[in-house]
Formats: sequence, structure tokens, C-alpha cells
Amino acid sequence: MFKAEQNVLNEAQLLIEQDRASANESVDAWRSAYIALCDQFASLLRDSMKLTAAGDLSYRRLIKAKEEIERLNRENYHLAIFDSLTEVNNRYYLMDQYGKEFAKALRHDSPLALILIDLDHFKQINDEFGHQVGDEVLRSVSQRIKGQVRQQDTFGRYGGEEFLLILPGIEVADAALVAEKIRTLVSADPFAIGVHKITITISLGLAQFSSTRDVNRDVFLLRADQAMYEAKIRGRNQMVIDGVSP
Amino acid sequence: MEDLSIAKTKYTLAVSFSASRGLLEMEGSSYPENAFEFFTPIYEWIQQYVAEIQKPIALNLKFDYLNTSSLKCIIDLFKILESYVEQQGEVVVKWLYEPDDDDMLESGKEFAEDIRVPIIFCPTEEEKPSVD
Repeated sequence: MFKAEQNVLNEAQLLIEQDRASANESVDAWRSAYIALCDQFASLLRDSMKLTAAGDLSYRRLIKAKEEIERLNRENYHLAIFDSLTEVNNRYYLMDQYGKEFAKALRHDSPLALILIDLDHFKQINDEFGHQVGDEVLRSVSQRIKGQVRQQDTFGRYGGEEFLLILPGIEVADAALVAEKIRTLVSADPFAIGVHKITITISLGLAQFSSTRDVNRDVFLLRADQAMYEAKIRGRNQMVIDGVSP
Repeated sequence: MEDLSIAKTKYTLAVSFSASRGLLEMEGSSYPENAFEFFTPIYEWIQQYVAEIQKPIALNLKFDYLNTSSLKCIIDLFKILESYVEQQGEVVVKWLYEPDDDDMLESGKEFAEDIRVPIIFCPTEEEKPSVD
């Protein structure tokens, strides 16, 4: 690539060698070689300056492109793990975390509680006030619950009007307190949505991990689901612990 | 004289030189393993055109990314055009860049400096949907 530049340098070096050998000074030959070298040097300097400047710009473009990719990655990650309506974690993230927590509980036989939460008579809200209000209810309820969640807990939207709370390192009595606190918090004050004041109640199913019963993650989740269903049957707006009779 | 056409790859430019129209177009990214090898037929074609055809040259360049070796090859390409201009040849270079790509514009201006070949900077038009 630098052949032309190399040729000029070679010629100048050859001239020096010849001159040493012959001790014969030819001023003209020296002068023309010197001029050629200077020209070449000036041209090389000009090129290097351009290359440096253009190279820097090129590098800056690459960095900008890299930053853009990183930004998009962050955005994609957010989209992948958060529910776009309620802004709490989505089912994908919930199931991922649940898998990890279940494996941990199984391995160390450590405490783990699941609380499945379902809004009562949500269909009626949609029918009476419209879907936009229904959406706003989901958003408000999930945000109110989210405020009660500890750092180590995972809370997210499990399905339509169903939410799941995963509580690692907690015994059943404490998990029941959390569930009751959430239940009363949701039902205590009506939600102000537009001109409407809507009272919402929730039914909760609590299951405590048992290494003998919960042979796989589906069984454990199903117990929370059954407890929640039991709460519905018993008249809603209550919490049922799986395996505990009223 | 035959036209020169090189298909675009991930690492090399698309090249389309038309001898009859004097229109030379290069487009894409260039970071080949051996840039000089890639550019050699390009230099040869232009040198032949300059020697045989001796008509005006319109060179359109639209680059996405050039590695340092390719930058050096473009500088050498400009030198060939520069000597054609010195021999009274007519050359116009169009440096095309995306409207929001300030770095590519600046890069072109670096090239244009001290070069005795006219360079026009053109933001590429955004394609507008046709309306019936």
C-alpha cells in the first residue's frame, strides 16, 4: 500500500550507499533526491493528518453505533421483562424468577411462599366503565401492591387480572401477614379513576413450599392457584392458605 | 473499454464504473483483509480510462464505514484523479452522506482539504412514499 513512498525512500538510501562507496559527490543528484524526499515527506505528512482525522471520525461513528446498540438492548430488556400496561414485571420474568427461586428452595429446603392474587369481579368493571377504566384499575392496583413488596420479592402480572408474588425466605405466618396487608390495602380506599371512585377487592391464594409435596414447580404453583380459587368460592375479598381449613 | 462492476459484500464496497457515461460509483463499507488488493483493479480501471477515454469523470461516493487501510486507498484514488485534473481532465466528486451523519460529512471535508479535485457534499434524500 505504501509502495510509492517506499520507492522514494529506497532511491534516497541507494544514493547514500553509492556516494559512500565512490566518495564521488554529485550535488545535482543529491539535490534532486533531497527534493524528492521532501516532497514525499510533505505528501506523507498530509496523508497521515487526513488518515488520523478520518480515522478518529470513523472510530467515533463506531462508538456511537455501539452506544445505540446498547441503548436498544436496554430498551429490549425492559420490554422483555415488564408488562407494558401495568409496568410491573411480566409473566416471562415471573416464571424465570420462579424457576430460580423454586430450584433454590428445593436444593436448600429453604422457605418460599407464593401468593396468587386475582381481582374480584373485574369483568363487571370492564362492562360498567369500559376497558380504558379497566386498564387503569389494573395499573393502579398493581402499583399499590408493588409498594408493599420487599427487595428480594418478585411481583408481576401473571395473566389478565391475575398477579403473582414470590416471597423467598419467608415462613407461612409472615407470608399470611403480607397477604392480609395487601388485601386490606387494596380494598381500604377506593381507586379514583377519572370521575369514578371504584372499590376493588382481591382474592388471594397462599402456598408455602414443602419439599415433600412440591415435587415440581407446577405442583407448587397449582396449590397457590387452588387456594386462590377457594378464596373465590368462600365469597372473595379474602386470603386462603393452601391446606388450611377455615 | 469495459465497465467495472464489483458486487457489494459485508466487508467490501459496491463498485460500478461506466466507461461510456464516465460515471463511477462506490458505495458501502470497506474493511477488507487486504484493502490494497481490493482497490488495485479500481486504480487500473481509472488509469486506463484516463489514458484511453479522456472524458469527464463523475465519481459518486457513499460510504458507511472505512477502515484505516481503505481511507489510505481513497486518498491514493484522489491522487490519481488529482493528476488527471492537472492534465486538464474534468473530474467532479460527489460525497454522499446521510442527512444526520455529521461524522461522515466531516470525514469527507477532511479528504477534500488540500485536494485539487472539486468535491460536492450531498445529503442523501430520504425516500418519500409516492402519492397518487
